[in-house]
Formats: sequence, structure tokens, C-alpha cells
Amino acid sequence: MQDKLIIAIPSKGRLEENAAALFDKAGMRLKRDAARGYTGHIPGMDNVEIAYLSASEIATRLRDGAVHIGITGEDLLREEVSDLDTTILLLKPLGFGHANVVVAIPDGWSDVTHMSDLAEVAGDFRSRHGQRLRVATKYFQLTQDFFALQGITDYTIVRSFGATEGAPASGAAEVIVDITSTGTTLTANQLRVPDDGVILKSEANLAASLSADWSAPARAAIRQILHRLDARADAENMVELSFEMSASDESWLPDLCKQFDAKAVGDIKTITSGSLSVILKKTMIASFSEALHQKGKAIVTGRDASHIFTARNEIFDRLVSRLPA
Amino acid sequence: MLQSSSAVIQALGGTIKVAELLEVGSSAISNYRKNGFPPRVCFALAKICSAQNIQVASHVFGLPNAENTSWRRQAAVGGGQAHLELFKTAGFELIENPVLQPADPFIELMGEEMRRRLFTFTDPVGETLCLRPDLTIPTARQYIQQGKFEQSQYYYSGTAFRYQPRGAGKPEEFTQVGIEILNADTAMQNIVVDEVKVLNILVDFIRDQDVTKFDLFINDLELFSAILQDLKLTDRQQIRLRRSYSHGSSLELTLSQLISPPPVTRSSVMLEPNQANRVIAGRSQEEIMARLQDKLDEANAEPLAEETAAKIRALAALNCPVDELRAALRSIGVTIHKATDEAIWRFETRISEITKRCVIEPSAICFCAKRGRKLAYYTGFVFEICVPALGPRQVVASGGRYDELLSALGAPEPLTAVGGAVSMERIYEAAGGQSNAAKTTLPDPSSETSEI
Repeated sequence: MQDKLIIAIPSKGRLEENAAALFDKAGMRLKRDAARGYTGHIPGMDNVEIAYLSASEIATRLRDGAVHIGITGEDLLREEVSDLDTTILLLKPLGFGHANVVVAIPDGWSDVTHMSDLAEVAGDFRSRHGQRLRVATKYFQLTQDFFALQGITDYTIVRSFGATEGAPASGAAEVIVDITSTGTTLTANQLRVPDDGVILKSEANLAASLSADWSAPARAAIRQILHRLDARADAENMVELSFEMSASDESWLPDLCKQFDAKAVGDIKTITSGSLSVILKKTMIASFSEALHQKGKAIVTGRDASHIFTARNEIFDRLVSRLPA
Repeated sequence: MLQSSSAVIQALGGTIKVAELLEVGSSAISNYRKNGFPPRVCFALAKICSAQNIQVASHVFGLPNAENTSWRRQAAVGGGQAHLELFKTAGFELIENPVLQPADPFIELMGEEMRRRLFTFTDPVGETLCLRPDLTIPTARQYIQQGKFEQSQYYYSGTAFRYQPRGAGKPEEFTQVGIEILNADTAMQNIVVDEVKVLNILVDFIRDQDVTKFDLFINDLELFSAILQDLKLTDRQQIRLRRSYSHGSSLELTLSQLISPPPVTRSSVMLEPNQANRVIAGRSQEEIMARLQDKLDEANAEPLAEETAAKIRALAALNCPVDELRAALRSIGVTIHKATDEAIWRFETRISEITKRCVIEPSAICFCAKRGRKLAYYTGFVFEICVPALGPRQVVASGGRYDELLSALGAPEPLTAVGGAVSMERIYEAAGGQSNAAKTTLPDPSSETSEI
């Protein structure tokens, strides 16, 4: 029986770099067992094993329960895993690997601005040319689901293994469904996305397998990892503000904290003098300090924290609630 | 005989033991208990079970239900064959089709949804083949390949295959017996004669096997088109509604888009005068500009009125005895003008022929606007024969007219086609196996198998 927590990390490219950086910043160094090896570990965490896999294989391994957690694009998870909602839990979007899965049509089709236009053109196409409109893609599942949702039935999928954007020009298909981050390749190939043609806004996700063997050591390890990742993530998004307390603050401060989603470090009721620190989102700093000024706090100081650890980890709680007891 | 994944896991020693046997996590096993075994573990488990002499019902491992299989055998080699004589006597000729077929024609004709139901594989030189999901398309292809294009009457009998999600309890392998009349005379009177002939022979075939209690549902895709025409909709509105009605996509979506159309904007690329013949990904500039102009014209016109949409909605859900059709149309607010009147007249001619030749009272025949809309290839008259005693999978036979099929498959000119097929397993179930049926037929509220 495998007791270790197995983490699947993309084996190459930007995704790997970003994943490594994510763990690195949180004080967890991913180390490959050999320079070109496909296994690895995190020094100091003996109950963790790293598997370096291709991004699409990570999706199927998560589905099959062969790894516990993995980092891969949401597009691949949704494409490769038809029963995603019952087999995999998306723990958190990671803020890198942004790309959209989109429908792209020839730019010269000036009459097509919406998917409803495409539905009509697809129907016309079939009666005019006696064959269905062809859609080149590697995303069969996403295309079938999206087209069905848009009421498009008169089309057929042509499998594409790469350079999908070239399909309309080469005559292999009329329309494509592909992933794009900046849209420059689409533009370069005289393609355009209809106004409602975005199928999925994807980014790299930390995902957990619901069918893996979640032994006690594996649960302990993921709890520790999430705790540390979140401490770093929170430290990046939040700031610590402090100011002098006085006895009467107890009457209004809890409400103000609630209003700004700020958390006090310590119990407001018991601190009647000295300084109090609250943690809140960076975007709230200005308006929160302004509110404090109005309550008579002359000076409010802010500090960036390197880590903000919290005892409860919401993501871990969400994961555990989906696992068998 | 174990009947569920949970019973099998118990018999093999419980969750932990099975997790070890399969080298997977114990939470995976909990999922198997809930959702059934995924295909990837079925073979390994079946081997373990037979080695330990544990008897497991075949459907637990995603295999065809044993009882369904026995019906199939009876259908194929037993009584079924004797009944086929009836087709010969009526002047139909046996046509045999390979089980292995190229996959493309099925996807091309039945749509991308059919891809999810096909068993496909690649042969060693790279061609994508499939197990035939139906026998109509192979018959039509063979007819075209012969290249004679004479009026032909065929019958066929054989196994067809459609994927069903594992554990759904639906057969993936079933026997279709059917007939086709291809390239018949197109005079109005003969059109009706052929349609009624197909229905009549299938009804005789079913009665011949002691299935006498059934309901007949009829739809006519032409009638829907005629009513749209009389509702004074624009050409584009009519085309879009017709298409979404007969091609199984969401009529509600189309209606909502017609009620509040997205704003029309001229996109950046404009026609340069000398480029009218330039072709962009299969569409000429001329075609593109013509459609853009239509859109601009229509943007100034009134969008579809909610009141009209309500009529169309009611029409698409209409279900009434055929002799009450006119009254039912009036009650949903359809005024019967010329096109509709003619379509109803044709419909009524057909019904009176059916009642005469098939010996069915008009009150026992229903007009049902929901029938025959999932397979994208029907073009007019559509029928379904149902045995209510079979519950959710009650359609035992279906068919209709599909005049566009042969040309879509490559016939040099438009040729008429009308035909229908019987599901032999369901006929056997209806004829005698009702008590078994209750056990083996799972509830199927979506009734997605209603197309045969």
C-alpha cells in the first residue's frame, strides 16, 4: 500500500517552471531525483513523492487515482475527464498558464459575429455543399458539449494533432476549436473568435483526485502543503495593519472588520490598550485606514508579511469533506 | 448470482482486500460501490471472480444483459427468421451488409452526437472503422455502390451496435429487422402508398409475432414547415426553426435567439468589389455578403413576436388523436391557411390509407410532434410503434421518409427513400418476456433509445 502523497507536476516547459516556483516560494523545494529523472521529492518532507508527467497525462492519472494531487490546465482536465465533478476536485486556480479554449472562424466571414450565426452557417453549409462544416480540434469533448449547448448540430469534428490554426487555410477544416493565450497566432492565420465563442477560460489548477488512496499520511502531507502554499499566497495578497487600541473600540471595531473582511490578530474584546494588528486584502488598505482615521486613529501602519499562517485551511476542509471518512 | 458492484466487492473480501487486488486506493473502491465498475477494472475483476468461482451477473461488468442476449439469439436464429418470409412475400429482397463499416458516413449523416455512440477503431492502414450502429445507412450505401438506381425494395436483419454508458443496463448490441423502399415513383399518390406500405408490413410483422397491443404515433415534419410558412415568418426564421426542430437541437434556444437577436454589426473586413468570387474557407465572398445583407435587412424588421413563439412551442409539443388534429391546431391559435391546409390534407389522406390497410382506428393513432426529431435525416412522414407495457423503452419499431439520405451519401440526383425498422429484442420482450422485462429494464426517463 502506498502511504506517500504523490504530487504530479508537469514534466517540462513554463508549467513546470511556474509549478516549481510556486512551491519554492512557499519554502518547499522540488528536487528531481536525477537531472532528467521523472521522479522527485521535497527535502524535509519524507512522505511526499513527485511524479513528473505530461500535462494531459496528469489529468488521466488524477481521474484514475494514480496520483493524489496534480498541477495541470483546466482545459485538459475538462477534456480528458468526462466525469470530472465526481472524480476530481479543483482545489485552487494558480494564476499562471492562462489560456482560453475558443472557437475561431475565418476573419473574412464578416456575417458571423455570434455562435448563433455559426449555427445558421453550419446548416446552410450542409445544404449548399452536401457535407457538414468541419471543425478541426484536439478538444472533442469540449467542442461537442459547447456546440450542443449552442444548438449547433450540422458539423463534424476533424482530429487535429497540432498547428490547428492552419486548418482553415489548408482546407482541412472550415472552423477550429483551440487554445490561445494572446490570440496572436489566430490573428496571424486570419482567424477570429465570435463574441460568444469562448468555451473555457482556463488556467493551471491545483487539483485533487477523489479516487486516490487518501491514507492518513497522505492527508497529513497535503494538509501541511496546503497550509504552506496558502501562507505564502495570503502573504502576497494581504497586508498587516496596526494601530493603537483604546477601551471603547470594542463597540465599533468588530463591525468594521467584518465590513472589510479583515481579521484581527488576537481578541478585540480583551485588548483594551496597546497595538492591534489586523490582516486584510491589499486592495482594502486605503479605505480601511480612512475608516480608522474617522474613528480617531491618527496613525495606521502597514507591513508586508512573508507568510500568514492560519490554523484552519479552507481548501483542506473542502477536500476532506469530499473524501470517504 | 451477484447483481451489483457492491456485492462483488463484499464477496471478494471487502474494500481493503479489493483495493489491494486491483492496486488502487480504497476510496476508489468506495466509488465503484456507488457508481459501478469502470471498464478498465472489469476484465481483471471478471478473471478474479471466475478463478474464485464467484457467479456475477454479466451486466455488473458492463457486458450485455444475459436476458437481452437470449432475446437476441432467438431473434437472430430462432423464430425471427420464420417471420422474415413475410417480407419476401411482399416483394422485398434480402440485402446483407458488413458489420464493419467506415465510420465517416454515420457521423456525416447522423451527426456529431452519434460519434459518442459509435464503437470506432482504426485499422492497420489508418482508416477509421466502426461497428454498424444501424442498417439503413449501410443499405443505402450498398444501393448507391451498385449504381443501378432502379426502384428497389429491400429487407434486412442483423445486429447493430451502440455504446451505452457502463452500468446503464441498456443493450449495446441489438437486432434490427427493417425494410426500405428506395427511389420510388414521386407522384403524390405513390408517395403515400409507399409510406403506408412500409408501415403496413411492419405492423403485420409485429402482429405475426403475437404483439397486438400497441400505439401508433405519427409525425409529419412537412406539417411543421407548412405552419411556419403560414405564420408569415421570414425565410431565415423558417429555416432556423425547421432545422432546430428536425435536427434535434434546442428549439427553445432558437426561439429565444429569434425573439431577441444579437445586435448586427458590420465586422472589420469589407468586400472589395473585385473579390466577389474569392472563396474563404469554403464560402464565397458573395455568399458571405448576401447573408450579411440579409442580417442587416432583418435587423430593421420586427423580431419574432412572443405570441408567435408560444404557438410554435405548443406546436412542437402537440400530442393528440389524429382525427382531432385540426381542432388541436386551432386551439393553440394556428390559423389554417393554404400551406397548412394542403399539408393537413396530405396527412389525412395518409391516415385514411393507414386505417384501411393496417386496420387501426383513427382514434388509436396519435399525432405526436415530438417523434422522429433526433435522427437528423428524416424529411417528412415519421412513425413510431410503441408497446406501453414495456415502460420506458417502449418503441418497438420506427421509420419514415428520408428523401435527402441517398443524395447525401453520394447519389448523383435526389432520390426518394422511405423505410422502417423493428427492434427484435423489444418485440420478443413484448411478445412474452414482460415479466422479465420489469426486472431488466432500468428506468430511462430520457428515453434516448427511442430511436431505433
